Amino acid sequence: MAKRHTPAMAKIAAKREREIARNHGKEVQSSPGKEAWKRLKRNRLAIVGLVVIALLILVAIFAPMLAPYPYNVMDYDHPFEFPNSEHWFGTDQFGRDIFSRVIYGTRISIPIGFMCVIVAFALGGTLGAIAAYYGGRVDNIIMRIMDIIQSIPSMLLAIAVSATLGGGMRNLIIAIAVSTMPARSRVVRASILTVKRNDYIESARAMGASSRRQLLKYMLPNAIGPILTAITFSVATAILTVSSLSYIGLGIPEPMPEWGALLAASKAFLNTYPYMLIFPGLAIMITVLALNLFGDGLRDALDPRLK
Amino acid sequence: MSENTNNVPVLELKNLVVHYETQDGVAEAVNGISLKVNASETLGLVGETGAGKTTIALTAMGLLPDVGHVIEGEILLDGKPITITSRKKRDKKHYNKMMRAFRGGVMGMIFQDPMSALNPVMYVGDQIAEVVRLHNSVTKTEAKQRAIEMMETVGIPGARYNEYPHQFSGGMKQRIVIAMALACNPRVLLADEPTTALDVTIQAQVLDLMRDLQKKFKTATLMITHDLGVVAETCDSVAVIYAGEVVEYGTAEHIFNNTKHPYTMALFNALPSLDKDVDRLHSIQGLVTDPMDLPEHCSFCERCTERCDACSIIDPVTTEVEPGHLVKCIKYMSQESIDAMLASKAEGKEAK
Amino acid sequence: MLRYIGKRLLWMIPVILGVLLIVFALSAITPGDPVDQIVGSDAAPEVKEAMREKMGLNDPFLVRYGRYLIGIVTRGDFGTSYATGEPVAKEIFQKFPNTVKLTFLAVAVALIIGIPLGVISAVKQYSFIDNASMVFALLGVSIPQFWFALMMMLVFSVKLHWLPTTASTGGALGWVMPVAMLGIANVGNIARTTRSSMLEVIRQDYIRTARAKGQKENVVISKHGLRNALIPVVANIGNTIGVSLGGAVVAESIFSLDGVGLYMLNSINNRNWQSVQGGLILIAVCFSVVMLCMDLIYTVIDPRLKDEFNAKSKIAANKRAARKAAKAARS
Repeated sequence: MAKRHTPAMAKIAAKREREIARNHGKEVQSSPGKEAWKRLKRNRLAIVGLVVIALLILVAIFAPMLAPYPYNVMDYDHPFEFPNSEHWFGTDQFGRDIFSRVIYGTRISIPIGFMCVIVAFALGGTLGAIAAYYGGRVDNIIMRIMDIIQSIPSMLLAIAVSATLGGGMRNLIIAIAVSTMPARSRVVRASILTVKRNDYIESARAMGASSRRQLLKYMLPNAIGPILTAITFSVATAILTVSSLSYIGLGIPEPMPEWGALLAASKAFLNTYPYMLIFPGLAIMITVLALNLFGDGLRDALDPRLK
Repeated sequence: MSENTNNVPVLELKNLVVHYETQDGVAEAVNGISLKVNASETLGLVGETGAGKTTIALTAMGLLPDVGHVIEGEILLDGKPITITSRKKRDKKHYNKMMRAFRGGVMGMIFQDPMSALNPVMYVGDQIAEVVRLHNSVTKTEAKQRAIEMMETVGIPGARYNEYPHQFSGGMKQRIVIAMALACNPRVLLADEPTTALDVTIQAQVLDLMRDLQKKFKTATLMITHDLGVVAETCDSVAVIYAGEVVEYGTAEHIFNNTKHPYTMALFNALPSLDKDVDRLHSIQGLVTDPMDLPEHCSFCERCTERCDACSIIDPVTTEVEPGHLVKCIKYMSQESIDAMLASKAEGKEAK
Repeated sequence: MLRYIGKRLLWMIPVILGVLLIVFALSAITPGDPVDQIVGSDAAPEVKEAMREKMGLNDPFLVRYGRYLIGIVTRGDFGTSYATGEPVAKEIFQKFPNTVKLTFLAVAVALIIGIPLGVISAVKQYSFIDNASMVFALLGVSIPQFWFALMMMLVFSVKLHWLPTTASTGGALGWVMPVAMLGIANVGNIARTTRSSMLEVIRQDYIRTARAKGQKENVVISKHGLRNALIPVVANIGNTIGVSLGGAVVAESIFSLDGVGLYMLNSINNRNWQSVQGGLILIAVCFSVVMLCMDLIYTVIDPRLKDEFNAKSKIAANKRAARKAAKAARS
């Protein structure tokens, strides 16, 4: 679930982030991106994560070619088939090939995961950036509103919003984006505050750069490190949340083979055909694991002190 | 501990070599240093950052990081070795157990940065009492008593026992660190840049305090600093360290009044002077020699203003220029020995 | 300090107002008519209209908002459930013990396993035990909790018949799987947080100072290291408690555990808005209280923070005094 900060915690985090920025500002002034990439390449697990993510994206793109069967065609002659050479993951109660359904599932979970995060960062990030840039009263008002939203547990808020808007991909994205918006705004705000204290912003201001120009040209690129890490972890969380919501019946409706929904539909066969439950869950786990591995690597690469 | 009245120095370094073996290569931090400190005496270790001064202190305490190893040589405490070169797990374990008894007890250490040397979430008094309890069989109250006594000794009211480090100023914190280091009447005090992080006025107070305490406890002190002012005020003898080697060694008088080594001279030239009106301070050109990539010849020669051709070929041997005053520079070697070394060097090259 | 606590408690008023606003907004755009639940969706339009009028649903937005607030303030009335006719507050508090029990058991498991795992990992960085526990922790945060629950059911209920599939049956045994399900993610989280925080701490100078005193290594770690490393861990725990007290929705629904989460889920699904708004307000207040407690715990762990809070309220007080003085001078 989204990370929450109390005021005290936020303060500690900000302090630590300032220190981090100071520390690696010294070291990687020349080209922070390149240095970080070098460190990332050395981290084998992170590269494994990255490769798995890339493969999953390819699977999503070429799903129709890779899947041996269509995801939604029912075959009443072959229901409940145990995994075999023709149906690698077996078939479900309608005779649909589970392997194909899991493959098509990448077309749902992965884009949704990314979209949730993009929308959440677009909403929360903008607010966080505005708060950090203008500071003072604007900052106070925006962040207090975020506090209020955050005092509703994000899972409950997501459920409430998606129940209000109804099912479907778009509404699910909105629900998750809204419920995670405060946490994302905090991340962006913290990184921009860190950068804002650096001297080159002062010099940009002294040279008369306009506010918007300052924000975009000078602050964002330098604040991007922690934000990238946060994005990676957020996609992992979003994919887990989507599948949980689908599992309790609020996500993507049938016959779309969303992984959580596949599990929800198979739950009834836990006693009789448990194989149906194994593969969709594994698919979720591998995706999330890959994202977490990559996120860990990214964090370490951007914060070399931990090595 | 037996009191040594004969001439065994309290702390002695014998041809100490320490390397850090990291992923990026081997850093040769200390390269054959031999030194002695007697009771009630202060030896100054002077040199730039990265010369290997702190490594010496950490080696003596047995607190080298995991990548640091004593390659050869040893450090003796009252004539008994307190370093190991073995890397066997069992030996290390045994060694650590032995060193635990010395650390904080017979040997005290003052760290460079008082701001970060104290545990921020523990009462300062308890931090002093902790070391007392570790090395004396005393009750909690007795340890507390002793801690308060030590706080008073360094000029902090004992009533502040139950306060946290952040409630003290930098100078006060350093006093607490000193109290901690001296709480068990150590025979050796390793002071690693004890005043660097402090204001000048506070520096003087802390140095005075250390001197008084040394008189009182008769400790042998190793004063590590890059500040020649501190050396002048506190040290009986001085070793100037460059790239892990002693380049000049002598009494404070030798070093200050009869400076021989070009590096030592350069250090003096870099000092602001009160009686000369100069526009800008001299700095020593170039950077400290990279300990990952030490040359076979004199390691200072690239930065030396008095270098000659032979400097970039041979590594000078240490020469005694007057009784007790050692210099490691080609300038003070006899012409014959230089020629001999050049010849053997040339031979070695041909043989290759 | 007291001033700080007071300020934080006062802050709950805007939280309640805000949460209420969110719920009202959601109920306004939601399709479906709450009246359907009471009189049935096939009731005559006049009956529905009469019911709506009676419930005050036809009043303007602000009137309803105000009336609800007055209800809370004057009578402690958080509304009445459409479904049962019972006061929402009463229903929530009935469900609360189960949720609290689940939360604290899961957090306790996470602490008992997660903190030692993280500490050992940090102390023996890159060793086998570090790698093994970090793989375990990573799996813990990557595994979909509900799937983990299903797999546990498969093994322990279906195959081995050791554990019941619902929490309400089987007494203490029924709690094993829900607690394990929430616990595994928390163990992973806490172990990872502890490790990275501990790694940072053991590089600090004061750890070296402690070693220089001749202290034993494990005492150095436990006495000087752990407490300093604990703040991010406490923050993590606070988060988990705060979120889980609002109902571990998925866990409660999988194991039919009659707690706040399941209650909220059912209320949301049934468009029982009175229950949703009452429930969310209580949960938000509860969350704020937990967060306040966590902040107070920080100050116990790290005395520097206490001084910082005090200093901050002192500065605020000074500012106020200055403003007052300025005003007085002007008039």
